[in-house]
Amino acid sequence: MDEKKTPIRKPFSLRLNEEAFDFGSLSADDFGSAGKEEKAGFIPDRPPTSYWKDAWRRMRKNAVAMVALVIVALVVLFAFVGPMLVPYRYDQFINDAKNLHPWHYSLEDQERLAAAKLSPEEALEKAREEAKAEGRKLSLTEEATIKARAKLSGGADDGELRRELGIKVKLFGYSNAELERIAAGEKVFPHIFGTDGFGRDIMVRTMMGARVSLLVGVCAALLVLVIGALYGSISGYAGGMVDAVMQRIVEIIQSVPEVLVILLISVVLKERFNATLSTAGGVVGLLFNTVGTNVIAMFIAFGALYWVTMSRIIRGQILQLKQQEYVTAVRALGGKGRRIITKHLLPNCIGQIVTTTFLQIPSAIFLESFLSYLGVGVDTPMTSLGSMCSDALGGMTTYPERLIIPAIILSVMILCLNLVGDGLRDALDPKLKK
Amino acid sequence: MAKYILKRVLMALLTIFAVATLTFFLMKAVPGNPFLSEKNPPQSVINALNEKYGLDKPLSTQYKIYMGNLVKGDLGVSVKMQKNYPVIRIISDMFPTSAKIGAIAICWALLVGVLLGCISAYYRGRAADSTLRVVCTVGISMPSFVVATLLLLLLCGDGKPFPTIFQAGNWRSYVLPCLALGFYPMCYIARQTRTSMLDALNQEYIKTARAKGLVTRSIIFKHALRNAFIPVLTYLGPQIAFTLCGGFVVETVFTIPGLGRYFVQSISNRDYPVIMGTTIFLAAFVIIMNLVVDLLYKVVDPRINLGKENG
Repeated sequence: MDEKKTPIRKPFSLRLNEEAFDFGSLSADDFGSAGKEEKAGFIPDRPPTSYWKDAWRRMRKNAVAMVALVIVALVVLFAFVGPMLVPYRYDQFINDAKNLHPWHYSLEDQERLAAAKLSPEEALEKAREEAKAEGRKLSLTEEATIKARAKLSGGADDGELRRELGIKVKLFGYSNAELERIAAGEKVFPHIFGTDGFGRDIMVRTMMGARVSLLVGVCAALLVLVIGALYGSISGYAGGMVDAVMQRIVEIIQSVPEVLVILLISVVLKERFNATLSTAGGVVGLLFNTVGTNVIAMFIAFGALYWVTMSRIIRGQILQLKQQEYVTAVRALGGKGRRIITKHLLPNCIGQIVTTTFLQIPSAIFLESFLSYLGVGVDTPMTSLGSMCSDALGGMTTYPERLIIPAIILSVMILCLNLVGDGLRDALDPKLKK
Repeated sequence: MAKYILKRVLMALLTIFAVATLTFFLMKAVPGNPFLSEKNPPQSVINALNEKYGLDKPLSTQYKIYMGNLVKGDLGVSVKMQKNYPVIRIISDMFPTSAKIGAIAICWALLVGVLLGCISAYYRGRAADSTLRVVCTVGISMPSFVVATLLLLLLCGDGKPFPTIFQAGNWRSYVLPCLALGFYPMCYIARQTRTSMLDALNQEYIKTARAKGLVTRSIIFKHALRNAFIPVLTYLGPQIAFTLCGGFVVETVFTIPGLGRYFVQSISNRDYPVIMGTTIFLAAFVIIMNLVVDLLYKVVDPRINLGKENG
C-alpha cells in the first residue's frame, strides 16, 4: 500500500509547538488528505461524548429514574410479549372456567370439604344439642333458618371448615374441569389472575389493557408533539401580530376545562363515526374497524386540546433561541424560516421537546383510563385498564382482585412513566435542575 | 387594575362562548336528531321541535336561536332520562350536592396539602420529607377511580365504619367521597407547596428572620408561607376543574345523587341535551372559578404588574 510508505507526520498542532512554523517550508504534500495513522494521532484519549451519551450518563446516576425505567420496560414486556406466551386470547370465552379466583383448591381437598359438610338434618341436630346445653329450646323459625343455611353452605363456614381440615389454598386459578384434565395428564395453562364472568382469562386481558393504554399514551403524545411543535415554533418564530393572535387562541383553549370537552367530543364523534365511517369501505373503513371508533374519537379530542402546553414550552424556547447568532448567520446565508425552524431551532430545544413529549404519555394514559372508566374509552371486546376497573365494580366484594390488579398496574405504570420523565428532564436539561 | 379585570372577564366570556359554539357544532354532528329519543317520532313532535330549535332554518339562524336560548338559561330538555324535564332544572337539583362535596374536598386538600408541603420543606432530606414525597408522587399517579374504589372496598359495608349507600343526612356518607376526591389535589398541592417553600426559604428576608433568632417554625409559617402560598394559588384553578371531573367518578362509585353521576348516566344513555347542557354549565363554572382564582392571585400578591402580561 502506498499509504504505509509515507512517513508519519506529526499532528499539525504538535508541530506547531515544537518548531517555528514556517509557511515557506510547506510542501504540496502537507495539503494531502491524512492517512490512517495520522488520523490515529488525532484521536483524543476519550471517545467524544454526544448529547445523548451525556444525558444517559447523568440518567444512570439517578437511581429512582433507573428503577422506574426498568419497571416501565417490564410493563412493556408484559403488555407486548406477554399475550404471545399465554395460550388464551383476550376475547376468548373459556366456557368451563368462569368466575375463577387467582387461586384454587385441589380436587381431593374439595372432596374432603364436601364430605366434612353436614347435611341439613345433622346441622339441625347439632344446633338442638347446643341449645339444650344452654338450657333453651330452638324456635321453629330458628330451626328453619339453620336448615336453610345448612342446605346452602353445609352447616358451617367454608373457611372455618377448611382451617379445621388443614386445606391449603393453591396458587393460580383452575376450574374443576381443568383440574380433572390435569389429573388425566393433560397440560393446562393456569389462569394466573383468575377469569371473569365470561370465562375470559384476566391476565391476558390485563396485558391487552396495558398494551392499549401504552399505545394510546404513546400515540397521543406523538400527536401532541407534532401539533404543539408546529404551532409553538411558528408562533414563536413569526412573532409580532401572528404570535399575538396565536397566543390568544392558546389562552382560550388553555382555559377550557380539557377533560370535560374531551369527554364531550369523544362521545359525539364516536356516535358520528359509528353511524358513518365504520361502514365506509376502503382504507378509512378498515382503519376505523381495526382501531375502533372510540379510540380515534379520543385521539382527535386529545389532539385538539392537549397540544397547548407543548406549544407554549416550544414557543418559549424558540423565542430565546431565535436571538442567537447562528440564527442570524443562517438568515444571512439565505436560509428561509422553515429551514431555520426545522434544522436549527427545533434540534436545539430537543431536550425540552423529548421531556414534554414523554410526560404526555402518563397524562394521556391517565385521561384514557378516566374515559374508559366512564365508558367512553375503547370498544368491547377490546379492553383497557380503565374499562377493566369499571367492569370489576359489579362484583367488587366477591372478586376484589379484578379491580385491584388492573388498578395497581395502571397506577404503577403512570407512576413509573412520571418518574422516568422527571429523570429525563434532569438528564436532558441539567440547567433546570436545582 | 380595572383594565386587567375587564380583560380577564372578556377573555373568560370569550372562552365560554367558544365552548358553547363547539357544543353547538357537536350537536349538529350527532347522527339523527339529538333532541329525539325515538327513531320514528310522530310528525307533530318533529314539527314542534323543529319550530323550537329552528331545525328547518339555515345553520346561522339555528346558531342564533341556540345562543339566544343559552343566554336565557334554556339548555333544552332531557330526552331520555327524565323526559321533557328542563336540563337547567336538573342542574339546579343536582349541582348543590356535587358542589358541597367538591368544596369540602378542595378545602381539606388545600389545608392538608399546604401543611404537608411545609412539613416536607421543614424536614428537607429527612425521613419525613422522603415519606411525604413518595406518598404524594404515588398520589398523583393514582386515578381518582382507583382511590375511590379502594376506599369503598376497604372501609364501606357491614361492620365497617362507613355506609355503602349514600344518605344525604348522614355525615359519614360524606367522609369517603370527600377523601377520595381531595386526595389527588392534596398531593399535588403538597408538592407545589414544598417546591415554592424551598424557593422562599432561600430568600434574603428569611436570613434576616433567622438572624433575628426566630424559631424555624415561625419562620416557615409566618414569613415564608406568605410568599410560598402565592404560586400554590395559581394551581388551585386547574385543581378545581380536576376535582369537578373527579367528581364524575367518585359520585358514580359512591352512588351519590349529584350532577357528576347524572352526567355519567346521561353519557351512557346518550341523552344529548343533558350531556351538552351539563358540559356548558360545568365548563362555564370552571372558567369562572379560574377567573376568580386569577383575580385573587393578583390581589394577594401586590408585586405583580397588572398592566403588562408576559406570556
